[in-house]
Amino acid sequence: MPDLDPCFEALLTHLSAAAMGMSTRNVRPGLDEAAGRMIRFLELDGCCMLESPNTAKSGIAWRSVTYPSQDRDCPLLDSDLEWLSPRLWTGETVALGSIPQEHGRRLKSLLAFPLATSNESRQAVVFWATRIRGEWTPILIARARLVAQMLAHAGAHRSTWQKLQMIEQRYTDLAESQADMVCRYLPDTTLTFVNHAYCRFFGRERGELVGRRILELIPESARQYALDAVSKMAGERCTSTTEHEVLLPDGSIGWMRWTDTPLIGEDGTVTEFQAIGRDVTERRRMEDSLRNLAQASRLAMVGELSAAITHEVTQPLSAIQSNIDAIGLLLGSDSTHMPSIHTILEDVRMDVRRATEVVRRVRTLLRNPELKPELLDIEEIAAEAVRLSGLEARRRGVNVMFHPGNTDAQVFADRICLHQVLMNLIINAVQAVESQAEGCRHVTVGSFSHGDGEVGIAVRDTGPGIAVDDLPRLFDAFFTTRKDGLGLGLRLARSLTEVNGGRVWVDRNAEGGTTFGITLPRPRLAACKAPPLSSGHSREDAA
Amino acid sequence: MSATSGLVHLVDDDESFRGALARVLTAAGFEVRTFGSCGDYLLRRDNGEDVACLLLDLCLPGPSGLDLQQALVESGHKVPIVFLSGEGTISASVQAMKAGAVDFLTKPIDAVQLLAAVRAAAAARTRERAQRERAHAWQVRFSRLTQREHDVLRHVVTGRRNKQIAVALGVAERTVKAHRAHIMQKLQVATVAELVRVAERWYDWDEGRSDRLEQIAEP
Repeated sequence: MPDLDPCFEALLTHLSAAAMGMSTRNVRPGLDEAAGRMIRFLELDGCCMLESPNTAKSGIAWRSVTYPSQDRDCPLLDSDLEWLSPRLWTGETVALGSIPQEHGRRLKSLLAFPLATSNESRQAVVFWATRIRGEWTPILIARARLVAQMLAHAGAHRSTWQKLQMIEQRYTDLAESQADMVCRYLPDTTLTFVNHAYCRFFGRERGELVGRRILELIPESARQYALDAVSKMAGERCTSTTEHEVLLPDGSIGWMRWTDTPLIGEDGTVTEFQAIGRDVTERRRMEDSLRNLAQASRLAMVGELSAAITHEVTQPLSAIQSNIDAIGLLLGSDSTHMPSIHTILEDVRMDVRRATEVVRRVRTLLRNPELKPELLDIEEIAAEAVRLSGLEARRRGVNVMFHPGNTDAQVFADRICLHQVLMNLIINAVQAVESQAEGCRHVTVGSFSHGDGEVGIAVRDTGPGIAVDDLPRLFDAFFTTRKDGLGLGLRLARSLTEVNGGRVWVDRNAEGGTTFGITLPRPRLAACKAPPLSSGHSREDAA
Repeated sequence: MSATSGLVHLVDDDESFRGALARVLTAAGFEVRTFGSCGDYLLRRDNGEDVACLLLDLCLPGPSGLDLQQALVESGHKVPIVFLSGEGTISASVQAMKAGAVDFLTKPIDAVQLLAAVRAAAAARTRERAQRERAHAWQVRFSRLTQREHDVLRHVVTGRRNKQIAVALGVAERTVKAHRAHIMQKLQVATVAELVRVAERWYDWDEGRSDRLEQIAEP
């Protein structure tokens, strides 16, 4: 061990601190300064680290770092490396107190020794002076070696960091350049990283967001759901896609769609989550207004159907009432009719089911659920719409016929949307034929397929038909041919069908009357796996 | 159960309701025949049947209950109608009652109300039938009078005395007295007051001033 004088020791500590303690992004200036002081203390002019990959055949080293870095006019020339490096790689310490002078050569003395080699590279350090030093004393060599090791260590430390930094930078660049929001968070939802888009969306600085919990950014009502989703994801280790509400800086509610991936640590537990999100507020708002309009229209439909609905509920209730009265009369008499009471009770049960079924159908119209596409049988929905609108049709003396035909009438769409569109088309048809002579009031509902890729439902009426001039405007808002019509039904039907990837169309029948229909694409397997249109708090696992 | 309280016809399109209501009426001692629509009723009913009451659903597919009521009134069928209705609209009930419906019940139907209405209709029907029978009896009695007896009776109704009648008809007062005695005997009336009341109503009907012969039997 070389004897350390307090001054050198203090400098060494300083250098060590500079190498180890500094923020990784600022190694260079700190280290430069400390190394500079060290070199001056040793009465030298500079040093540089030499490095050569083990695989390099020539063995010529290249300079990785030079201290002090501002010394751009390094006296150690490339030609020096040519003779110096082979000697270093054999393990020799090269100490030259005076170098033969050539014209203009600044390098006057030099001390070089190899450092520990790694699997990948070998390293050496060269100290130099631009004056003739004469003999390199052992204590100077020992001190220089100590400093060299320190610098090499700092260099290694730095190069690791450089690599990490490079990766991080690349990642950050990628994350930053995304219009999508990127964040990382811990299982307790504390944010560890947010990109620029994320900051912009929430209107906050990065510093305000990192370290805060995502929970603080979402409305209270959605917090438990979010926590449950995170713990489920952690448990199942699956990527999940969610759409949820977020609190915007102005206090309003926005919608985001997130795809979250749990990151598994070395010990196998979920350490962090990475999430990529997109602002879907605009789309949600449009969907919401469509949904609300659809709901309003369904309410209006219930109003229109109220007499029919009342009738349809009153019938079973009346039968129940009378059956119960009959039981009362039978029990009051000493007649031998007792066994028939069981039959009567069976009828009562049947009528209770009947009334419940009507109520269930009406409730379908009153609900205002999220749009949620699923794999459905379009004929089944048409049958349901025929049943419900049939109540009204019967009152108006109109016969609605249903002809299911397609064996495979599967579509990928929202049930309520389709139901409403078909109800709308059927009720329109019923109203169209109502004014016709008795016997000419027919509405026929049937399914059809169109090529391999499409399937649909057509509603054909024997009404007075639609004028050719009116056809192009039929689906416009506020266009109506009825006295009391608002002109929103068909417009809405179109939007509701389009939201489900389909279209509404109209045809004039050759023999009079009109046919309206909807056509939807047959689901492809992939489409069924696609994320929900607007699933709200639903989630689905990535395949 | 010995004899039924009467025959009730029920027209309603709801099968379950028809069955339930028929059970109530059967349990209360009525005989019931049910029909699913107005057409069914017109085709299948037996004109000869003495129906105590027709229970008629107001809202039926095809012709409504009101349409059937109208048709029955126009064709002179005077069956008492009790309307059944799910909605109970005021205008419909007013129209039904104006056209002579006995009662208007709103579904679901309370058995006590139903039986009261049906029994009232049946009683009215019985009363009406008795009146009709009495009226028929009067018709038979009046048909036995000779032309001369009718001439005398018309003068009696206008309050003329025998002498005045004799002068008017150009016969002896004694002859008038004999005609009167025959008339009283043939019509089976005991007092002149009753004779005048009955004869007045008869001639009102006979000469088209009244269309209700039944009133002749009313006190």
